[in-house]
Amino acid sequence: MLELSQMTLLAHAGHWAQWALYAVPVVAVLVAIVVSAYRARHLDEEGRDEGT
Amino acid sequence: VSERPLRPALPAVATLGAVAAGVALFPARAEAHGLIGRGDLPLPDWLLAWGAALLLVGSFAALVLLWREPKLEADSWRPVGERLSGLIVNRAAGFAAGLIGVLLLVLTVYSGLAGTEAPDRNFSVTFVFVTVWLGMVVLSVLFGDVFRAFSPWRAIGRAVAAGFALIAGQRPPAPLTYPAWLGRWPAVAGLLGFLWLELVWGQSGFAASGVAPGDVATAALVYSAITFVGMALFGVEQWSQRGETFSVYFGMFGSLAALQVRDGRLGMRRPLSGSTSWAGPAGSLALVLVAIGGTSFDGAQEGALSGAISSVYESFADAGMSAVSALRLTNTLFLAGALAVVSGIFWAGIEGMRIVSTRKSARELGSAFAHAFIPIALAYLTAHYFSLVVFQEQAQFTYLLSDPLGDGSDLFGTAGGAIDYTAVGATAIQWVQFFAIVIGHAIALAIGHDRALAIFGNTRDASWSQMWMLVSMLLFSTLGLYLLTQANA
Repeated sequence: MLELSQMTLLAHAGHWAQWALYAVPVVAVLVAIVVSAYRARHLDEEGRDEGT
Repeated sequence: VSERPLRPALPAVATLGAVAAGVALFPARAEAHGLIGRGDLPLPDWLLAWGAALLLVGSFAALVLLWREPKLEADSWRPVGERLSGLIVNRAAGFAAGLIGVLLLVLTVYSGLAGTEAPDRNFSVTFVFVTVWLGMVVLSVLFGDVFRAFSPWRAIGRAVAAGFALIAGQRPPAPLTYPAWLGRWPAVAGLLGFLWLELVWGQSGFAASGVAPGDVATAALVYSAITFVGMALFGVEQWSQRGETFSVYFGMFGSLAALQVRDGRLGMRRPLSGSTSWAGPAGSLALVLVAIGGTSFDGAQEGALSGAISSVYESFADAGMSAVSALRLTNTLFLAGALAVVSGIFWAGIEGMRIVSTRKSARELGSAFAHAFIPIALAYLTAHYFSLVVFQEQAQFTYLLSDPLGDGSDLFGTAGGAIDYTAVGATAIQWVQFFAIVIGHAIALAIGHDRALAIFGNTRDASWSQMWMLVSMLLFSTLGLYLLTQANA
């Protein structure tokens, strides 16, 4: 059985966990940008290698 | 850099596209809680934030595809017909507007000092914190820098200068040269002071501000004295344009408007284009960020941060501070924290932009893109205070106008009026909040994109740079919606 203080902690955690749902689109766009930037850099490097 | 493929928005669009289906299919939430009937909204709060993000990413994609050269940078001002201009902008109208401003300032001070101490029955509190502070923003966005005409301090300053010339038979001594480094910093200090008075000093629980009418009157007198000193030192017009908080603050929103008066002539320009030259003086960026941070704190204070504020307050109270001092210190710290968070999001976007090009310093880019955040300040204000304006203005134009002192008088026969809280429904208010946030951020993206095109010279680099601004905008819109839903809860 959970103690009252543990249940309170869980309830608060559940309340704050809402943040994660709000943050999903921001994280999705951020990941998309980082991945694209990484790919672009990779393509640039490949292009330079082929040029030499 | 210019060789980079421009594809990063696509995965995000795809991800959020799936969310759109969810928005359409998600069942209505059963629970309803708080002051506003949340059960009326067909979506859970977080899904609303996802919808906002989807609309912003879509707006960004549309800008990249369709907006390929700067449209706002060039001066597009054209005078309207001479007769129309003369009808609106003339000496008599200017005198009348100034006189109205002075009379309202006198009424504010008098009602604050001599009227009832009940903030909701005294003219001064609602007039300053709702009618002027929020209503003038709406008028400025629609009609341009109208506060310049109504500013009581400018009117008094001009009248004193004219009186001096008449009596002494010579022009007043030339004012000091306004230092460039001072820029709009005095206005920023004034804005911080105003927000502190509104959000920290007054803690009596009054819905509009919590500030006592006597405090409003005293603050108005102190602020007037500071303003007249500034005008005496640097000249009426110079101080109004740079140092006088209300003129600078409303002028910031007025820069978005299509209407502008130049050299006594009314003219029209492309909407939003006035903002491109607004952020030049030092301190302009700080003014925008403080405006956003202040509203953020107000929203967070009522919901998201209320628990944290209570716990810090209790710590201070337990340490032996008086209740009022503990609450004011706590709120001061959280207000500073809100300003730091807002500034952090802004500078993160600017630093991200420097990945595209390091030719400009972060400071230069910050100044170059400051004006893009004016619509966000407007969106936050609209979303947070829309219902307050709708309800409190009913009081302002009925019983507060007829009975400004709250002593039982009935000057215009409307003292028996009351606020109709059913004038706008809870669901309508929440949709206004949602669309204010989305539209404000979409406009901010457009202004930022336009400036990026001017700075980076080509669509590809401009779009890359604005990816990071997009993340900033998403953070601001998500934060705004989160704070609103927590405050409504």
